[in-house]
Amino acid sequence: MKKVITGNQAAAHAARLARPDVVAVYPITPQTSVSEMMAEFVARGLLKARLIRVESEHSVMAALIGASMTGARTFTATSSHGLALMHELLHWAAGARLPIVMVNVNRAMGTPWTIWCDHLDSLSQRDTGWMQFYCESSQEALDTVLQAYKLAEKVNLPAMVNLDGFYLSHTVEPVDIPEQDLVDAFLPTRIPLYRLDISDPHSFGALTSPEHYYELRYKAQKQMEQVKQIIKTVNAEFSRIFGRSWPPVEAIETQDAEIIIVTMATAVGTCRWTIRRLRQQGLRVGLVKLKMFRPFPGEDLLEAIPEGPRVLVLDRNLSLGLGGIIQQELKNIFYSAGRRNQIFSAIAGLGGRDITPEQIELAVKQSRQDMYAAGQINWLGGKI
Amino acid sequence: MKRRVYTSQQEMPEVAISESGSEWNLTGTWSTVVPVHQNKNAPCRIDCPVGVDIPVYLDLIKQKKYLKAFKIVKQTNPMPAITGRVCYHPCEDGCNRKILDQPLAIHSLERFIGDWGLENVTTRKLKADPEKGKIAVVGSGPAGISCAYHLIKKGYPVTVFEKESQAGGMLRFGIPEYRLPERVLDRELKSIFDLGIELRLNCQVGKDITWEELANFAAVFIATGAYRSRKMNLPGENLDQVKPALEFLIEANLGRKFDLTGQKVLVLGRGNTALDAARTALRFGAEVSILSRSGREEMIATPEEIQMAVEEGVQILELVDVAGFEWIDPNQIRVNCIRLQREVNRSGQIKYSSLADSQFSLTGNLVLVAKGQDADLQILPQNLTKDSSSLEVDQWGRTSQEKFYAGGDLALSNKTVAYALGSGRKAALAIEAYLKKMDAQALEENILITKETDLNLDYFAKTPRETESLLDPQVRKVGFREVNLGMSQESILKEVARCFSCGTCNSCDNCFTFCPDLATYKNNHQYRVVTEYCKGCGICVQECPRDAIELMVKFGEEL
Repeated sequence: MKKVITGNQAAAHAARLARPDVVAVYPITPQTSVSEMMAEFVARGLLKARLIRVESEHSVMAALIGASMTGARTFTATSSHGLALMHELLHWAAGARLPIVMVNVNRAMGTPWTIWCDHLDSLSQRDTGWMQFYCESSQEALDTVLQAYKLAEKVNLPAMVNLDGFYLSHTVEPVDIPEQDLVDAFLPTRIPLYRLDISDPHSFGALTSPEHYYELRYKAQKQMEQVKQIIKTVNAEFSRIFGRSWPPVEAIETQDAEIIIVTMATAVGTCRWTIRRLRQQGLRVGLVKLKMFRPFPGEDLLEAIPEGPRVLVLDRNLSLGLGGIIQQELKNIFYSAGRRNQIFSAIAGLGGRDITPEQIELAVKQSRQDMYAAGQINWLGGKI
Repeated sequence: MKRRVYTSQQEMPEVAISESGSEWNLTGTWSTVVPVHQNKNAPCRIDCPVGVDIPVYLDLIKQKKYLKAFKIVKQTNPMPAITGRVCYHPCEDGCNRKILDQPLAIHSLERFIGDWGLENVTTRKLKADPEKGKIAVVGSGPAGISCAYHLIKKGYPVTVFEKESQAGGMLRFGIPEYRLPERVLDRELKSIFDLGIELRLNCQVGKDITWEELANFAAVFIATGAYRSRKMNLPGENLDQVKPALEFLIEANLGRKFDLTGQKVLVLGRGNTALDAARTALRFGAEVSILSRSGREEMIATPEEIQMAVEEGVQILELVDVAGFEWIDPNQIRVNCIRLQREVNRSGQIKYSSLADSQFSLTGNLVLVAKGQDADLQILPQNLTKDSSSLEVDQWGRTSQEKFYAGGDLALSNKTVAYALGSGRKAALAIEAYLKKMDAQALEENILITKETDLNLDYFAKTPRETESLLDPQVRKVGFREVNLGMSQESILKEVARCFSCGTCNSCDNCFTFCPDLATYKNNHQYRVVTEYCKGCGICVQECPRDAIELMVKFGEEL
């Protein structure tokens, strides 16, 4: 059934269709409408779940960890400072290998106090051991939540599905909401790896000596590495059932490109439109959409970006003291692979400033004409 | 149990999940200290001259284990029904509970358990072994009875020599019926003598039997009391209308019915004897005034006694000194008085001095003098060392002569029932030590005292002290009915629940519950700390409400 809905509504519908057993909620802009909708689904009997209202995001995650350890499927949504407050427990959830799925509606970190979008909130959590996905559209948000459950429960790792605050969370577009039986076919009941069970008591996550901690981290890393392949089988199965595909990396007109833009989330949509216009001007511009940030799909990126063209990374984030986080990760992959593409870095759209086609066009041209060095930051759209 | 260590990641689970217990982990090896359950003495017990193990028997009352509680009391105190009534309870002064609200009413609880014993416990005759050595006790007051009681319990045959026709000494002759009813006294004494103590009444040592004859006993305990009222050395003190208060009390206790209706009685003194004499005279119909040298607050008699006397109508004239007496007629006497003033010096000492030009006189029909009593030392063997007013003894009641021991009012400056009982018990210990050729010091306990700062008061809620029911003052003064009716059973249980059980483990389970290493094991209300696992964190010591656990250093220096 197609409906014109917001990204938050799409994510909430997906969560409902996934039939979680426990939903813990705590409000924060711009995520709140997800929590509200989940509460409404439960109140109207459309979702048979235990909805727990707690006193902070820290407790949200604690509640979900406890629930997930019993074998329950769990869901929550958060944003920015709420996510930061969960930080300690994000590590815990990943270390305990719990397939918790969480929607994070991206909002820049304060202070300066802000409610608008950039990606520093979720990217700050990159080392917590959560899988991270970024969505371009409301449809993708819905589909990614469903895929996240499938994937998380296969690999026993938590998944974070990121939606750009306001750009995606609060704008409407037509979305196909799948039928429940199709979702049920795609997403069977969770079979937990381990579970809290009073008839078979164990302690979980207790003090682990140096003799064993290292190996447990190794195993989690190995599992993360396998995700890069497993997500493809999950996406293929999803595609068979629902007719839509969301690869971790999508290459758009890269084969003949002299310059390729790499970016995430809603900026991808703007870039799709902009490269069409640039190609009409005769510039051979390509685009790589990075949907999956963790695990980092290095092999897919090397495949999507041929040797030769320049690369322009549009980072909607800023790691103070370094620059854009995506460009840094990309450089790491390329250097390790012996690739010498020139990689240009643009910081754009911080704290909810729009990333416009004009800015993208300008950045492409500046990069092409060596108007700034590959190692420098291009403060795109900044009043610098 | 052995600890499993994986040799490769393949055999490991995906998460940190326990596969077995952690008994392999001997956390006790980390510690330098270990908690030891060690009972200590509560201050009430230390302050009790008899040494009754108060917290232990109170805990047993809490559990309604009355027989066990009674037995604990009787280990040290032969007559709880009596002391529960007449002892001035120094135990309550020491009670740690006073820092939270009010001290425990220990005397009411002692009286309760004493009465319970009289009702429910029958004395069985004990076997005494003449081979161990026969003991003579001279005097059947509280000191003599206490010594005899403890010795018969140790298996020594004891003979008590009493010059009067009835046993009890000052308990019988000095304490009025309304404070200590004769039926209680008789039953309590019977329960003690029935243990097999030989009692020879109407037998005055030095007259009916010689001291030399007593020397044939293995040991002799002398407790002949202090019956000689002190003289004031004032003009007119030998007039017929001036009478020692103790003499008056003895006569009343022997059954003499004084008719003092409409008479004015003046009592000189400020101790319990003065109060007893005043309240007794009141009951014979007199109008009574007590002339006290000190202020009411500094009187020696207990505040409760003074309060009850005032309720009954006794008048207290504070800060009055007597200068002499004048004969008016065979029935009347003038008492010349002077007012005193009270001064507190820098070190807090109170001094009284005469107020100039404050002479006045009172007229009365009878003057009762309660200025203290001394022992009659003439009746004692010549070779015992004495000072001007009492027999010289050490802390164990040993006199200057081997095998002769003494206690009670004869030897003590603190002339109370409790101290007399304590001196009898100590002498019994010393006699045993002497006969077994041991050092009496070895019998003394190593005393650790629980201070109020060692308690964890978080475990105790403020609860007011229960009260005893007293006879109405109007009913009291027209007879000799017992004034203090004790506490109800309900009040007893409420009151005993207020006891902190200082220094005394009562199996509250806190050490067991709070141990983070599960290193405290419990078996039959006894706790054991497993040193293999105890990290020495001291949580159990902190959480013990009653200071019954100590942290001991495993090695190295003391904490």
